Amino acid sequence: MSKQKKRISIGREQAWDSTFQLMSWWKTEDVTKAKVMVVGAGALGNEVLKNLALLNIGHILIIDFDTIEYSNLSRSILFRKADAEKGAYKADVAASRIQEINPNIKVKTIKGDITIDVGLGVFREMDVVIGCLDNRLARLFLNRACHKVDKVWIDGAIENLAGELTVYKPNVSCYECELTDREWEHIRFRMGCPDIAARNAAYGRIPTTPISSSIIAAMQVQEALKVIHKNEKQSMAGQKFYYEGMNSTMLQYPVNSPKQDCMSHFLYEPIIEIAELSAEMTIAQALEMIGSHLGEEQPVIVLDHELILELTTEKSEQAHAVVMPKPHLSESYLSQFVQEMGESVLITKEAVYIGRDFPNQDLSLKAIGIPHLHIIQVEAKGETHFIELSGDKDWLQFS
Amino acid sequence: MSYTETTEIRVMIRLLPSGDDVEIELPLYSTGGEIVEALLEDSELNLPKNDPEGNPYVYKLFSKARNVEISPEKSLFDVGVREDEILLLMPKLVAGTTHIVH
Repeated sequence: MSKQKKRISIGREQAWDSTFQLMSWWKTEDVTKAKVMVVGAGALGNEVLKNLALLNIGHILIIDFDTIEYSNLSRSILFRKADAEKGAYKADVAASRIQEINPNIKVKTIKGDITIDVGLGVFREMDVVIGCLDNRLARLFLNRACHKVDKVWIDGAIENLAGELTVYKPNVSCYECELTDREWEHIRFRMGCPDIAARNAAYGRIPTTPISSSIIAAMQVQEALKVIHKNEKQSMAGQKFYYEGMNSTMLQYPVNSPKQDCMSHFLYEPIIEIAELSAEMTIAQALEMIGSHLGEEQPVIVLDHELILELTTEKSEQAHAVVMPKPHLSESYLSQFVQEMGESVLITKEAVYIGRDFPNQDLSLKAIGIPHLHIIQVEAKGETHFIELSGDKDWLQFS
Repeated sequence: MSYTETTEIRVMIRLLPSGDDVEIELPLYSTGGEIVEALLEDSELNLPKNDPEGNPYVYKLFSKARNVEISPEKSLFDVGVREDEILLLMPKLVAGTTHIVH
């Protein structure tokens, strides 16, 4: 008679974070409920996302509009050669791969530009924001957005074997306050670029390594964990960490206190949540709802960016009615209007204030550049009100 | 000891990431901005002014002994830098990814 060897497991499957639970400060519920925004899914972003997944962070929002190139693979643990061959989106592939790593986590992706496609209400929903960006303009925007809704954001930057981490917390530290005149020159130049590609281009070939991205990304997630656990005492807020591997230099030092007159130091409060208000609504519907809520007949929405309403060709002087949020403008879009070789296309009509006298009342808020779950500024009764498109909360579904 | 506008101090500037050391003498009231500018203008040092894509490098000066960045408007005197101290010169980092726009 042969004996069978059989292994029987009795008992519950081990919790994913059973090892982490051995750490006295670890709070499983806070971690699994946490919502973390990761802006940028490149070298740093890959490492951040991998760590967040391994740590069982419950909800991860990934923002990146770029596609995968072969040259990314040497620094991107989540991407494969087949992804580059297909030209797959970084955000989509990263989301899929981290869920393969940890099926417990929920993700959402936004394939858009952080400066124009992500509503302030989205930031407001997050516990913490992690910046894995590649340019100063995007960092400036992220800084301003997080200040508006009082969120901590954790910045990382890398080059060669060096890396830097800063934890920006409103009233404690501020990216904009650190900018030098030379950096402002460069930012203003970028801000002046009407072309979305030109605004975002050109940081593409700075050498980065998985060494520096691993170190800095690990610390970014470390600091995010402190925010999730509401550990202000041991946070690096107000501190900068610098690492330079070639010379084995490590520095941690305080950043300068925030300046008095800084445009980032602007908190939206109080924020009015209107439950049915949505970016899918028409201007007419939105103004009606806002007016009714505020008891104001003539509310005026103040756009964050100019809305272009007319373009005119310089030499042939042909005027074209358009509806285009200025940050969405591109050289390829403008080229369709060019009649004569070499002529410029000029913006001849634009709007920032949208009231009941705006001619195209049937346009949706989205069409005029207001993203889902945004917090819009509305002028009414001589005051500025901050109104959230709370009807879009369902749009921010993690799955 | 009293200091005047012309009091000079000798410090060692360590360039990162090359690790090269450069000894310089300069007025104690030199600001971080002035020092960086002077080092950038020094043709012998040949510090890169732009990254590979032509975007401007912005450098910062750091006092190891004081554990503080010498910001553009602060002077060596303000920060408390002393003779023969090491100051690190390093570029402000910007990259986080390699980004090609389509």
